Formats: sequence, structure tokens, C-alpha cells
Amino acid sequence: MFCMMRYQCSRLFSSKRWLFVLVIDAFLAVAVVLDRKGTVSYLLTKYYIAAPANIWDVPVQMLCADIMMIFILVTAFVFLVGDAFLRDERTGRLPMLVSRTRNRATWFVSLIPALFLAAVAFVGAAVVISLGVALLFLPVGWSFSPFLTSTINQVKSLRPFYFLPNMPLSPPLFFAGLIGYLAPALCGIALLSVAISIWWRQTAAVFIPVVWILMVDMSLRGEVMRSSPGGGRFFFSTQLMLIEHWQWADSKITAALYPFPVAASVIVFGILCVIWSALGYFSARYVDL
Amino acid sequence: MEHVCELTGICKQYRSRKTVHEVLHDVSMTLDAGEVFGFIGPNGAGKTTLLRIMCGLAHPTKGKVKVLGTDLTVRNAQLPTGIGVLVEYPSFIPELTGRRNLQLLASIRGVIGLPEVDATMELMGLDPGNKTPAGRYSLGMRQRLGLAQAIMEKPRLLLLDEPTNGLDPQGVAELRSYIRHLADQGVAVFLASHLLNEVEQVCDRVAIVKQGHVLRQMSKNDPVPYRGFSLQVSDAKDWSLVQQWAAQHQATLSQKDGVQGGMVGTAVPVPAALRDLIQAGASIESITPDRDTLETTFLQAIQEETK
Repeated sequence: MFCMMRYQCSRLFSSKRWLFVLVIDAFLAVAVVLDRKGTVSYLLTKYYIAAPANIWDVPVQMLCADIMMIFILVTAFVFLVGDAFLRDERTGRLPMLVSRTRNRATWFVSLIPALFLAAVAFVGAAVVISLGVALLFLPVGWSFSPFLTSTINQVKSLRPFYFLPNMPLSPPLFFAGLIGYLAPALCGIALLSVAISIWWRQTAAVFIPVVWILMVDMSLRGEVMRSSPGGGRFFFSTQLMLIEHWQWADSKITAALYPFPVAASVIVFGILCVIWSALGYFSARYVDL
Repeated sequence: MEHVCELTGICKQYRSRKTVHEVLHDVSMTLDAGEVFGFIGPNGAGKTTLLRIMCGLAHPTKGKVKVLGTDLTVRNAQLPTGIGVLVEYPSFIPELTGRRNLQLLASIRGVIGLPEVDATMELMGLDPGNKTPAGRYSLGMRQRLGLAQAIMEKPRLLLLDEPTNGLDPQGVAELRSYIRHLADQGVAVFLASHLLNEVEQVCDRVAIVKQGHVLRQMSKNDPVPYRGFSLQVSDAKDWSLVQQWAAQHQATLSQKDGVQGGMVGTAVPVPAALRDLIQAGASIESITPDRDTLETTFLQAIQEETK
């Protein structure tokens, strides 16, 4: 079982697709840097407010604040690992692997930790790359930037998300937590992609969860949030954005998202991982591979 | 003695929304230790599906599969150990070397180490020290690597799907003798192929299959009907000696146009006929017994099925 997991990891991590995905990360980081530089300069020239950004702004915007960027990263992760079953099936690797095990489901069970490790590596790499790109354009800081933590209304209005002015964690700890937060979410989505592709052996099947998030979850979320902003917390796309947990923290009108704190989201991601793992396990065991 | 592999009345159907497509129909066969069984048929005959059923990847719609003492008909069955599989066009992790690929595969079962992996690679004509990633291997090298992974753990049942794909003539000859060598050591070999010559030379028993139906099963020990021989002689004088011999032995003679040779229909065996003709002074260029080959049997079976 452990050796099979090692095989799965070798296979997932040696893929050249990582290069493509990491280039996308770099492009997203550049987009954030350019946007942030423009906003900071606008604040200075229009309102004479100095709220400089630093390198930490980039991973915050990319990985926990901007749903479209997060969505692009989710799609990239599914592209990276979601077709694990289809690739093995189409290249004929499956008989070589399954014939070496005592149980048909071993292939899938060993894939679960491999996908989780791939998700951790993926988010970690996205943080590192965004910081690397940011280093080329923005100053280094040892805490979150004045732009992120400012309470001045003009700054807040140009910052489309709420960020705790006194974030208790240092940036490295915050991003370590972010990796632990996003990894189970991404792993869950990838597991669902693999489980669906066992039943429907088309490349399109791999992207069903992504299409679901974009077409159904995000549009329903938009509708619900128009009438009740706090209602967005029941949608997966809201849960994917870590910053959303503080979005309504100081609102006097709308209840804060604290009935759904960070830990609750992690539990939801964990439960989804268990459900999709069970679906994949029974599919691998009973369906023709 | 228990068979290594026993298939009884195997049917495999794939259902789509409107149609039921039957890939295998009532396939029954047994395979014993030390035997090489050839499964031949045109593309789409169901060879690969049967191979997938035999290694536990797919379940039959009907029928019973028993492989190495394990009943694979049960959906939840544990898979037997001791199967080596080579699929058509084997694929490996393209970024890793051939040796690293085999090492990773070997670690799953954990019964052999790196020395055995290296020895198997050398046996298959591959260099364990080659640092080229498997993705850059030629088709023949990939096939050799596929064969190496199939045999490296010394399986009791070897399932081979088109094993000579991409191999050069020397590789094909080596593979043939190696399959025989494995069979002599007690390994049961199932060989799915559409190359009749390859199957004929190496298999003890053969099944001809078309569109999932087994048309004929034959053993190399089955008596082969003998109808005479074809021969070619040096000149017209020799051919007249052949005509005299044919008249003496009530043999039928049909000469090929433009050559001093043709078919001789007789029950006299080739060695006896050859001795008579040489004694009579005929100069024989070539003589070949007229027997059913696998190719003629295969074509005949396919034609009968088409009718």
C-alpha cells in the first residue's frame, strides 16, 4: 500500500504539467502586482493616502480573496491530477498496477494521500511563486502591508475584501494555515474528478466538479448574496475563499460568518474528502476498471 | 490437477442507452502450468477484454473465471498473486528511467529487489544504466521494458497482449524462445495476438476468435490431415519422372503454369516419395508437405463464420 502510494506520488509529481501550472501562477501573480501598484498609486494621487503594499498582498489576493483567481487555480489543479485514472486506463498502466495488488481498490486508496500531498505541494508552490514574483516589484515586509490592514474608508473601498486590521498571525504562519485550509478542499475536488471518471471515461468528466463550481455554485451564490450577504457561506465557492470568514466580522447589519468559522470549513472539506473517497473506493472495487 | 486458469461460459456485454454490445460470447478454456495458449483473432475480437477479465480488472456478465485458485467472478474477490501482464503498447512514467520505473513497480509487490530488476532488464536486452527517460524510448524498447515488468517477479501466469509489437526480427525470435523457456519452467502463458506465424510457432494450444465467439480450438498434438505435397523440379525431364511416379502411385498431379512443379495429391508420406524420386533420378528443387497451417485454418474458420 505504501509502495503503491509512492508510485502514485512519483507519477503525479514527475508530470511536466507542473511547469504549465506554475507558469499560470506566475502570470496571476503579475496581474495582482500590477493591479495593486495601480491602486496604491491612485490612493496617493487622489486622496494623498499612503497605504503601501508589500509582497504579502500578492498571495492574499491570489489564494484567499479573489474567487476568479482561486477558480483558475482549482481548474489548474484538476488539470494537473484529475485525470489520474483516465491516464492509467488509457495508457494501459492500470493492469500492470492492479495485477500487483490483492485488491482492485488499492489503486484508488493509495491515490488519496498522493492527491493530498499534491494539493499541499500545489498551494505551497503557488504561495512561493507569488512571493517570488512579488519580490521583483514590491517591497519586502515582515508583517501584512498597510494596504491590507488599513481601516481608512477610501482604502477599504478599494480593497474588495475584508482583512482583519490586527491579524493575529505572522504572514508565514498565516500561509502555513492557508495551505492546510486549501489542501483538503483541492484534494476533495480532485477525488471527485477521479471518482466521476471511473464511471464516465471521458476527459470532460474530469472537469465536472469545476464546471459545477463555476456554473451552479457560483451563480447560485451570487443570487443568494444579493438578498442575504451572509447566505453566501453555504456555498463551496465562498468556503474556498479564506478571507470570507472575516468578511462580515464588523458589520452591524449582517451577522458575521462565525457560525461558519475557519475550522467549520476545514471540517466540511474533510467530510467531502471522506464522501468522495468512499465513492471512489466502491467504484474502483465494483466497476470494471 | 487444478488448472492455472479456468474460464467457463464467459460472456461480456457492454450496455449503452439503446444497445447491448456483446464483446465475448460463451468463451470457455483452460490453461495449465507449462502450457502456452494462443488466442488469435482480428482486431476487435475481444482478446484484450478477455485478458482484462483474467487479471481481475473487468467482470464477466455471465460465466465463471478461476485464476490461480481465485474465483474472480465474485465482484469483491481478492486478486491472485503471481500474474504478470503485458498490455498492448505498454506505457510507463515518461519522466523516469526504465530502471526506476521497474523498481517502483517491483516495490509494490516487494518480492524482488534491484539486482533482479537489473538482471531482467539485461535479459530483455535493456541497459539498466541507461539514463534516458522511458518517455523517449522507441516502441521496441518500450515493449522490451513492458516484457521485463511482466516477467521480473517470476509469475506463474503470464498474460501477453500482442507481445511482439514493435520488436525487431531478432527480438521476436528471442521472445519466442524465452516464452518456450518460461513454459518449460512451468509458467502458464496466455498469448493474445493477431500474428498467426508467431502463435503457431510458440503455442501448444490455440483458440480462433471472431467478434467474441470462439470459432475453433486446436492443439498442436491434434492430427493434421495430410493431402500430399507441392514440389518443384529442375527441368521437364525431371517433371516427366514425377508424372511416372504419380501414375504408379495413383496420385493426382496439377502442374503450375510456367514452372516445372506443382501439387501432388497422395497419401504417400514426403520422405518415401522423396526417396523414390531421387532413386528414379529426378533433381528436386523443393518439396513441401501440403498440410493445413494455422493461417489456412484461421482463414477457413473466419470464412465459415462469415457464411
